[in-house]
Amino acid sequence: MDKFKVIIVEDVKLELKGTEEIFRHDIPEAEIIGTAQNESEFWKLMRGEAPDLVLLDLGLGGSTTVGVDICRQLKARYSQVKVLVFTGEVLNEKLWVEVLNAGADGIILKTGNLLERDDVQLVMHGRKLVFNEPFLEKVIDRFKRMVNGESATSDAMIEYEIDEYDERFLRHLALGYTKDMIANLRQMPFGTKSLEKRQADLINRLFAPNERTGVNAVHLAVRAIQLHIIDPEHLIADDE
Amino acid sequence: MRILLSVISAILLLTGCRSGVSEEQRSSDICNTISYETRYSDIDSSYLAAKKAYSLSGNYEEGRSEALNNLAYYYYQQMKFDISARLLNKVQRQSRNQIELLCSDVMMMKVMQRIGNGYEFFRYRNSALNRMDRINESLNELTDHQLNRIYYANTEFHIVSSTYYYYLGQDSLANVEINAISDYVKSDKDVTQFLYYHYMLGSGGLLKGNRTDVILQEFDHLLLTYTLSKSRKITYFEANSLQSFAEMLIDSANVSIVRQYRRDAYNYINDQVLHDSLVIGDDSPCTLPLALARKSLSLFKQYKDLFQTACLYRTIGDIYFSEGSYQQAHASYTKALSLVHSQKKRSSKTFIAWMAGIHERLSLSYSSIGNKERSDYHRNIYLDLLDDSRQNKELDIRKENLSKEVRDVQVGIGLLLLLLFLIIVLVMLYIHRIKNHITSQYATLLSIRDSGYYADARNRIAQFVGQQESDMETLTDLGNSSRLHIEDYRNGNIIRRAKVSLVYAIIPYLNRILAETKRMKAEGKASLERLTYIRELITEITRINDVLTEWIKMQRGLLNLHITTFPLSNTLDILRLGKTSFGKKDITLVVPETDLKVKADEALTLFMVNTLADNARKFTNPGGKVQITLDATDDYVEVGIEDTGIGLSSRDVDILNNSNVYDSSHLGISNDNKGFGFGIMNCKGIIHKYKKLSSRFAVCDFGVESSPGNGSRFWFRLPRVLSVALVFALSVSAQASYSLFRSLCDSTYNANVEGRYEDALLFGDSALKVSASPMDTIKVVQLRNEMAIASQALKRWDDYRFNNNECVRLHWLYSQDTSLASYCRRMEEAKYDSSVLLVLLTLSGIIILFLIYMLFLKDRIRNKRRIASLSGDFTLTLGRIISHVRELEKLALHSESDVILLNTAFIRSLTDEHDRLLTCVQDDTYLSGLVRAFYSDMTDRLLRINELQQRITSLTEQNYKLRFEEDRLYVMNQVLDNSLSTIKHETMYYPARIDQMAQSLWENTDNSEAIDELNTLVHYYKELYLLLYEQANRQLLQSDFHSQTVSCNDISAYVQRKTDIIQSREKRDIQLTCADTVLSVRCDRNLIRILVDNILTANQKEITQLKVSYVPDDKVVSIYFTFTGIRRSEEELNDLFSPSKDNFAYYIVRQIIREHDAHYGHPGLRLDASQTDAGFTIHFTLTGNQN
Repeated sequence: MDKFKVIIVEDVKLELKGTEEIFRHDIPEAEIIGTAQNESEFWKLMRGEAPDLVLLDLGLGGSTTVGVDICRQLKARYSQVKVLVFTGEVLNEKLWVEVLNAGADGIILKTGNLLERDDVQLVMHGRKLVFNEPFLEKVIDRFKRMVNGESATSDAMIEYEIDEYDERFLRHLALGYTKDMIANLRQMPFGTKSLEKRQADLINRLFAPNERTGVNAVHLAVRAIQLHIIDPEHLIADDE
Repeated sequence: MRILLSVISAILLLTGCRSGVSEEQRSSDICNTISYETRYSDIDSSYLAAKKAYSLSGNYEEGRSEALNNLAYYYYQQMKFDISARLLNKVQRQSRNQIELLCSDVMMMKVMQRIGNGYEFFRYRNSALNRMDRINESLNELTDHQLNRIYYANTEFHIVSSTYYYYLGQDSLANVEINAISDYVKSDKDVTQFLYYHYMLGSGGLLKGNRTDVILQEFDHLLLTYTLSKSRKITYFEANSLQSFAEMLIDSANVSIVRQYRRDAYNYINDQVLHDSLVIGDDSPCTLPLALARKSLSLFKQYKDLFQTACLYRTIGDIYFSEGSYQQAHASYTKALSLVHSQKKRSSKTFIAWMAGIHERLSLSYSSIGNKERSDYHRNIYLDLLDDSRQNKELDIRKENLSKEVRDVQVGIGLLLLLLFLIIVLVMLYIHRIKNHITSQYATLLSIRDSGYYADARNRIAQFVGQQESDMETLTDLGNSSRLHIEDYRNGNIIRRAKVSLVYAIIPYLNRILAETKRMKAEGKASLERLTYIRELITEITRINDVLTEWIKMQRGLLNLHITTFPLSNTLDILRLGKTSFGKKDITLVVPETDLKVKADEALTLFMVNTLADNARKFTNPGGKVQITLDATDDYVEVGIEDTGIGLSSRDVDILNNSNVYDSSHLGISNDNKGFGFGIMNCKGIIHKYKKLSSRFAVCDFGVESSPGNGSRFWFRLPRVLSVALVFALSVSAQASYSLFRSLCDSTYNANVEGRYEDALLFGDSALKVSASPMDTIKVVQLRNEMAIASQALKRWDDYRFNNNECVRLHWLYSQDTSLASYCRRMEEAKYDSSVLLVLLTLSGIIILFLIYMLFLKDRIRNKRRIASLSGDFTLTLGRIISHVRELEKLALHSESDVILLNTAFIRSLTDEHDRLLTCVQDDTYLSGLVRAFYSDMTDRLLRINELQQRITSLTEQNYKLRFEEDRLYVMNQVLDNSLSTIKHETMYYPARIDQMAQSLWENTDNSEAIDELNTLVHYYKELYLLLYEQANRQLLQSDFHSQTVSCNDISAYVQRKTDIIQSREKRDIQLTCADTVLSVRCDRNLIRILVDNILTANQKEITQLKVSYVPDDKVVSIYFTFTGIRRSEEELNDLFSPSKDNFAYYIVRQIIREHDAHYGHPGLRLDASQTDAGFTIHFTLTGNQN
């Protein structure tokens, strides 16, 4: 790794000290050309020598999410400067998305092994989306859950023997269509009467015998969502 | 009316008396006289004569009735009370002869006295008294025979009354009755009644005075009775006097009195009896009393008197008993009982006191011969019989009868008054019509608005409206108080949020330490540099911990538990509302009814019960049961929540009971148990909080009992409040002696049951000493009974007699019912009044009909009728309105929404009526105007009720919501407090320990074991800390943010208000400049006010000049608070929003901005402070209003 210049933005002195130590020990190539405790100090520094890397904490002083804004402006004004976010916001996923949208090159959570040489190196080599292990653990965990949810849909299709007409029928019920309206859909070759039969059939498939009494179209659609047969995030009507 | 009826009855009486005298009648009279005169000497002859008289009487009604009366006496004497009563009833039904009716009344009294029917006794007694009055008015017209009958009836009346009172132990009344005939009997007109009188006085109990005098007087009366009856051969009194002699002479003291003062008479009797026994051939040696009794017995047998024969066996038994011949006494009593049983076969009715006496003696004799079981058996029968003969037994029935009568009379009178009122109104109308003056009719109608009735209706409505207004005021006040509380709690909530975020502030440091120790571990040795850094971090953590402690301390006094006394039923009622959520899971929720009260915080108690019940629901499978139980001692109430769920392992139970902090994810059997432990941790925390509060809460406790598969039981205890505490305190001394008395009574009873009779007597005596005044007659009666039983068992006959007599005396005293006689009289009068009332009502009815005829059939003026009917309609309507409002008042107490429904329906009916009347009077503009004015006035007033009621309903709903919000915030704050204090206590130890370990590593940097240990400790510390933080943070997930658009000028106005307050408090001029602006921001108004408060209070000591300005910046508005004249260093300003002891206010400001940032999706809101030329500026941004 070539030598590079870095500015550390960190409002807590003791943390700043630790971070500086990490650089001194593990990343001797880095030259810390300045440290800032708040936004104005940072911009003052930027008016001087431009760094290659800004290690940015998201919350500074009383402003807890100011880092996002700093990152956005920094990327707009100094597009060549790399920004590595170094934050303690371990729970605030929305903030991660915001700061990535603002152009950050990576996010390092202040937990686990904290800042590691490899991560900095990757950023300096131009890699985007550099994350440390705790961050990736959280993302992967979420990813797994999502994938499991999706596979639940295909499992449900098999489990409950849902064909494309069933799916279409349930989806449109969820969208608030009446059976008459569904019968008028272009890809629905059934009349209202046979849709009623299909509904009764679906109720038998999706509900246990002791739950079947009094089940109406709304119950049925909700059950289909619960069983992942239809995905509420992709509820789109077919052409009429 | 009374006089009229008396006259009629007198005429009837005279016709009855003056009927012609035929041969047949004379023979009947003679037979009746024979029957009467032989009734005490030869009962069979008396019976035959009476029968003869009856058959001879033919159409002679008086003779027939007399014969029936005589026959009734025969059956009475034979103890066939049913037949006797039937015959007498026949007389009552068939006879018009007042004298025989009187005789039958008196005879009835005798029968009723025997069968113990007090009510009927007095009914006939009153009837007899009335008849006597009537008969006395026409004494001159009567024959000698009739006069004799009256004489008989009068004397017998008093004799039987005296007997009645005597048997009920009301000696004074008995005395009065017997003395009433002392003059009568002097005339010696009827020897049997004369004998009866003297026998009554001689037989004991009626005379009062010193003992010797009484004994001698009684002896004299008996001697008179004896000698006279013997000479006249009147067996009944001869036998009776002998029996009384025998009873008198059982007592040796009496014997010596008689022998001393009446030696000759005594010897005379002695000789007589001895002579007689020689005649009979009874030569077994015996004492005088026994000889007397035997003589008497033979006479009664001869006279065929079952009753007296049994009594004599009893007396003979008594004599044997007093002599100590218990077996013989017992045999005698048994004979008496067999006679009682034979009487029972004769008649369904019996003489209870008679039976009771014999059972009592049997109990005694069994006891004397050592058969305790039989003794108890007879004693119990005796006590039951005693209770059956209670005089006030009929009290309840009578009360009912009386109130019904009174009600009837009241209704009658009410009707009568109404009728009278109507008559008056109609008469007035009649006069009015005669005058035929139409204008005055109009005036009548017009005056309806000034009438009292009208004012009544108006007042009634106004009163109801007033009530509604006051209800509204109360509701508004309640709402305002809730609002104030909510504001308080929200302020408290943001402070707690700040604290929780402070808790989070140490987590980055912990992460740093952890990273450092990991690196040291990887490097295999500790570098001094790293150790220094770790110790610096620990110092910082300790500092933050100190700040937190300081803040927690600072706020402690501000929010306390709301301790009140409240009925647990409130809490359980709310819990019951949640039944459906249990039902959905097919779990039965059982909540008991209770009237227990506890002292605690009501909202927190509900929170605890809810939390535990919710847990129980979560861990119970469908088909199971969750049950709330309440166990109360004097000190506390234990609320238990039991389920039939999956249960907990013994390790979990141990953790839940004994640790303050634990990782909930390691608890429970199922995996799906997140949140399980936090609820319980909070419940425990609340209980600890109570305990810390005051010693009154020392009984508070919390616990878990469970085993896998057998369900769980969570319980907590709260101090109980006894409902009667106040009463108790007031009467504590009286209570104490009373309870001592009761417990001694109980001890007496128990000692008897266990056969410790000596102890029983001892306890009984002590109990009597304690009860200085008779507190509870029933209890004393029972006590005396127990003491009688004990002395019986110990064969202390004198004690037994005394206690038993006391028991009976107190029993009569307790059951005495002196009002029985007057009650019966009142019943009679009420009946009489009712008939008078009926006559009057009928007469009034006729008059009304007549007047109505005069009024309406003769009336030809249509208009007049119309006005009259209108006026009636108005009055009626007013009446309806009054009763309608009354109905509304009742309804308003429990069903507010029904008030509107009912009122609307009523208004509609008024409108209908208005329309109908209007069509009737449409051709008369004056009248229709009147109708309109009347109805619109009333309708408007009633509509006002609806309007107010709607407002009340909406206020009630609003208050409910506010109350809910209030409770929610309150509980949230309390739970947060608990969590924070747990964090404080549970993690205090670690920083110091880490520091210590780091220090020892300093001395030996190569100790890799120590590095490992340090790493593990830091790791554990972090996990624990995160766990506790998560618990606290969980509460904060319920958002409490109320977004609004607020104009920046509003913020300025608030700053102005606050500055004014500071100015007057600090007595210093503050120059405030607020830029006028059109800008507005989106924020939580309340939070922004708290923010302003905090910024100003942080500087209030120094502030002299403040400028507030607003600058729009893209989507946000920057707000500047510039303080001139206050110097803050650059460093101070940099650390202004970081945790430190002095910066709590700023930390809250920071929390408020954080809340806004989070709520509006992290638009990057700023908060910073910087120096200016002559002071410093606090700058923050808020989201601008898009519009």
